[in-house]
Amino acid sequence: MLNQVFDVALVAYVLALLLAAVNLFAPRRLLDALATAGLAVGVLAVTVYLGARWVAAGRAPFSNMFESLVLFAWTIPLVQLVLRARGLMPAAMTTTTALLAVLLLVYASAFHSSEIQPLMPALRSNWLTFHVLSCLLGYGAFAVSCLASLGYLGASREARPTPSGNQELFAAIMTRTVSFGFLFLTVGIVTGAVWANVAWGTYWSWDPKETWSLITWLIYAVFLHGRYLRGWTGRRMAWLSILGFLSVLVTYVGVNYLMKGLHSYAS
Amino acid sequence: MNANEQEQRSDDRREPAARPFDAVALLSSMRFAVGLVIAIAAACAVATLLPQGPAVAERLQHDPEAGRWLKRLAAAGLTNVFSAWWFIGLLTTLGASLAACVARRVKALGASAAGRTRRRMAGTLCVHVGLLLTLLGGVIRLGWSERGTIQLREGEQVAFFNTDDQRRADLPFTLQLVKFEIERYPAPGASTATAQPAHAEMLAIQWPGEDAGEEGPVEIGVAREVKPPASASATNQDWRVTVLRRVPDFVVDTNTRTVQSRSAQMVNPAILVRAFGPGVAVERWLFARYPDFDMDALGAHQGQPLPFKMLYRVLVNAPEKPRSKTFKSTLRILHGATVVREQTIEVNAPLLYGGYGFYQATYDASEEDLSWTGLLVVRDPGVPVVYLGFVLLLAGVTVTACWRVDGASRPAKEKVPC
Ligand code: HEM
Repeated sequence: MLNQVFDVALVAYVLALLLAAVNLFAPRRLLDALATAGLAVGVLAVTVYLGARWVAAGRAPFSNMFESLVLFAWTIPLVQLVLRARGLMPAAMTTTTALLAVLLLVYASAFHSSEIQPLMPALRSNWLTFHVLSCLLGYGAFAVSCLASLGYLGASREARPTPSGNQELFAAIMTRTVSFGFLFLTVGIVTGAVWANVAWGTYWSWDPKETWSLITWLIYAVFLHGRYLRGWTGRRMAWLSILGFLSVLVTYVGVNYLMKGLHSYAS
Repeated sequence: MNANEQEQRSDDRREPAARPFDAVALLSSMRFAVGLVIAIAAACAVATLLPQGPAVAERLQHDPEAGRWLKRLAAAGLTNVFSAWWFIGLLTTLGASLAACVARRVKALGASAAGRTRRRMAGTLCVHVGLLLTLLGGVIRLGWSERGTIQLREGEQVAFFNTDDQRRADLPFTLQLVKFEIERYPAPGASTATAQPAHAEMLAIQWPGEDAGEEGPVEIGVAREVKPPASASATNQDWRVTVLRRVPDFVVDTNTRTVQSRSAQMVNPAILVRAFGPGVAVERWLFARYPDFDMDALGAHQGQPLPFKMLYRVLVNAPEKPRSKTFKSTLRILHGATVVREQTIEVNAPLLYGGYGFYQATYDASEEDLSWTGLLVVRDPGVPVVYLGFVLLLAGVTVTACWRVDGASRPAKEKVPC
C-alpha cells in the first residue's frame, strides 16, 4: 500500500511538472490551475505516505536519509503552494518546485532503501520529530528562495509582469521565504541543541553538522539585516540567498559524505 | 546614495552627537556586526574542512608526511579553532557588539510610542538579548563546567568522577548502580508465526579418507558430476548424483508405504538422491539429522554399495542478533545511607540532580560483561542561561518573522522604521 501511495505522489508531481512547463511557454490559466492542482495532489499523497509510515513504524518517519528526502519533497511544494495561495504565483516557480520534488522522490527511491528500520537508541526521542520537521520546513523555504533568486537573476529587468514572473515578484518571494525559513531554521537549531543536551549532556559540540547549520543561520541573518535595516535589494540579495542555500546543501548532505561527526544520518 | 553614506546617515540620525571615535557606536554598527559574522562563519567553515583536535593525531598516524603542514596549521591556531584564543575573541567581540546594540535599543524603546513599531523593536531586542544570553551561557560553560565519566558495576557506589582532563572531582552525594539492562527489538521475523530461520542445504560427497567431503547445493533434478579424488584411483569412473525429492519433515505412510512430509517445518528434513555410476544405480533417502543412517528408496534395488558416502547437511543460520533498542541503568542517589532519589536512565533520558546530569553513555559493546555501565557526568551551570536565551531567541524571531516589509503590492525599498 505504501508503495502505491508513493507512486501516486510521484505521478502527480511529474504531471504538475509537465503542465507547468507547458504553461511556461504557452501560458493558459487552465494549465496553471491544473499544474497547481497536480502539486497539491502530490503534497497530499506524500502527507498520506508519511502518515501511513508513521503509523506502520510507530514513530515519526524522519529518521534516515530516505525519510528525510521524502519529507523534503513534501516541504518544498508545500511552501510553494502557500506562496501561491498568497498571490505570489510566477509560473516558473511551479515548474521548478515540481522539478525538485520529482528529483527528490526519484533519488530517494533509487539510492536509498525504503524499508522501515528500527531506531538506534540515540534517535529514540520526541525531539527528533520537532528537530527534523522544523529543519526541513526551513530548508524547503530556503530552496524556494534559492529558486526565486535564480529567477530574479534570470528575469528581465522590466517591471512589466510576465507569466513566468518578473523581478519584483521574485524579490518578494525571496524575502518572504527567507524570513519564514529563518524562523524554522532557528527552531530547528534550538530543538537540536536541547535534544543534544538531553542525549549527550552538551547543547553544542561544534560537530560539522551543527557548525554548518550555524554558518547557514549566520548567512541568512546577514540577509535579513541587510534587507530590513539597510534596504538592500537586487542582485546582492539574490546571491546571498543562493549562498545561503548552498550552505544548506552542505549542512544537509555535504557533511554526511565529507566530514565525520555525531550526526551519522546518511549511512 | 552608496552604502557608506547610508550608514553614516542612519548613525547620525541615531546619535547626533557622535564623537570622532566612539567605541559603542562602532560596536553597535551593523557594518561591524556583519563583518564579525562573516569572519566567524568563515572560521567555522575552515574548521570543518581541516582536521581538528583528536583528528590531528589520527591523521598523523595514517600519514606521517602530513606532519609538516599540520604543524604549520597548529602554529596558526587552525587545528583547534573552536577553542583558539582568536575564535573565542571573535565570539566575545560579537557579544560586545550585541550588548552595545541592545543598550542603544533599550533606550530607544523607552522613548518610542506604543504600537507596531514598538512591538517590532521589542521583538528584535528579544532576539539580540537571547543571543547574548546564549553566548553568556557559553562563557559560563568555559569557566565553570565539569565533565567526566563514571564506570559502575551493579551494586557499586561512588562519590567522585574522573574528569575529561584526568582529574578526580568529588560529588556532593553518593551514586549507586542498582541495575543495568539492555532492551532489544524483537528478532527480525520473530513476530510472524510462519517465519523460519534461513537455511542453507548442502549435499556432500565424501570419499574414503576425506574429512568433510565436497559440498554442493541441493537442487532438485539437477545432475551433479562426481569425480573421485586422484588418490582413489581404483574407482576412477565418474558418477552422477541427482536430488529427486526433498521433504522438510520425513514420514512414511505405513499403509501405502509412500513418503510424505508431516509438516512444513524442518523437523526431519530428508532428500531422495539417485546415484548413477558404472553398473550401479541407487536411490536413497538421506537424513540431515541422522547422517549415519540412510534408507534405500522403497522399491529400488536394495543394498548396493557405493564407493563414497553421501551426506545431507542443513545448516541453520543463527538468527541475527536483535538490535539493541535502548540500554538502561537504574541509579540511586544517596546522602549518607538515605536514598534520596532512584531513577532509571537511558539514552535520551538522563538523571538530573543537584546541578549534575548523569547520562547513559556506554556499556561493554562485546556484551561479554553486562554488569557494568558507563555514565557521562556533566555539571554546567550555564545551561539555564542558555535555555533562557533560546526562549527569548525563539520568541523574538517569531515576532520578527511576521514582519511584512515588502510584498508584491508594496514598494520593495520600504525600510523598517526601527
Ligand atoms: C548573529 C547574530 C546577530 C548579530 C551579531 C546581530 C547584530 C546586530 C547589530 C550590531 C545591530 C545594530 C544595532 C543598532 O543599530 O543599534 C542589529 C540590528 C538589528 N538586528 Fe541583529 N543581530 C543578529 C541576529 C539578528 C536576528 C536573528 C534578527 C532577527 C530575526 C535580528 C534583527 C535585527 C534588527 C531588526 C535590527 C534593527 C533594529 C534594532 O537595532 O533594534 N538580528 N543586529
